[in-house]
Amino acid sequence: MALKTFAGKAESVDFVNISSLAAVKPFASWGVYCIGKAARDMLIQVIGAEVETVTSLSHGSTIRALNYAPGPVDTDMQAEIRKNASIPEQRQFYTMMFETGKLVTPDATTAKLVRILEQGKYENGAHIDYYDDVE
Amino acid sequence: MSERLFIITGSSRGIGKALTHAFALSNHFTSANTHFILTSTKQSDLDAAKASLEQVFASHHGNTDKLKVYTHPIDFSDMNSVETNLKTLFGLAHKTGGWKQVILVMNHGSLGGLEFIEDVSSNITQVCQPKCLIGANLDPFSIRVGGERTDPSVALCRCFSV
Repeated sequence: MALKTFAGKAESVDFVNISSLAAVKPFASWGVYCIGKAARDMLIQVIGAEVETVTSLSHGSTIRALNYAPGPVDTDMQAEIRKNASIPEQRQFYTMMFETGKLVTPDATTAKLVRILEQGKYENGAHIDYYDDVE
Repeated sequence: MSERLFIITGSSRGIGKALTHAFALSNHFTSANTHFILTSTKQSDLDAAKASLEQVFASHHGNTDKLKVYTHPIDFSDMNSVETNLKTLFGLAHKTGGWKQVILVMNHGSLGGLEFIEDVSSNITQVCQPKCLIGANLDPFSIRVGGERTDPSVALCRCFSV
């Protein structure tokens, strides 16, 4: 629906999925999250493949798709993990990350995503992580 | 065709909210008129997110003359309303003549239950149905855990039906 809505009505259309390390790496007890993130990640990859393969889908627009894994970000989700993770070691690990300031701030990770989009050098359907060196 | 449109889900807190600010602070992305469509589940949260975005934009650019922010709440865990709501959402910033760039960010999500697979209350392998219908039907992309059940824990799986 989004592609149909905007293809041909913009010079460029960018689909960005906030992905996760959990899309490509299993985490015990995060099954529903991992599966959902993996599906979303592949969705973006397929969009990238389709618009590269079938140019008529783009209706003259430049269509691009990107997966961005933001790192362990200091949001409500991390608070939920520290509180409710089924595995004690996970609670301890992410509590340590929080208390030692190792979680990524929302401002830092979104600034990196915006830089990636400004430069626009990524391959269609790519998966880029906060910790990847893309500069 | 110099104006840009940003559509961001889950934009009232966390990464989504920070991302609205990061775009607003980018001279590259705000070189011409800049339109945002924000969505999350609650209108009251969106009102606050809009005010926050306008404040950040004004602090960087001196005013909000080149900024337009639209909001519309969507609950991506409600399969029955997603399609209609997306149509409304996409129609908010209709523009004749077209856009320079449209950036759609699927950010909304939830952690789901922190359970071991054997404790997940439904058969994941049987019922996971990632759907992606480009240019065909309007079905939202979804994964259903438990058949037709709309479990809030799978809200993360819903995104734009691209």
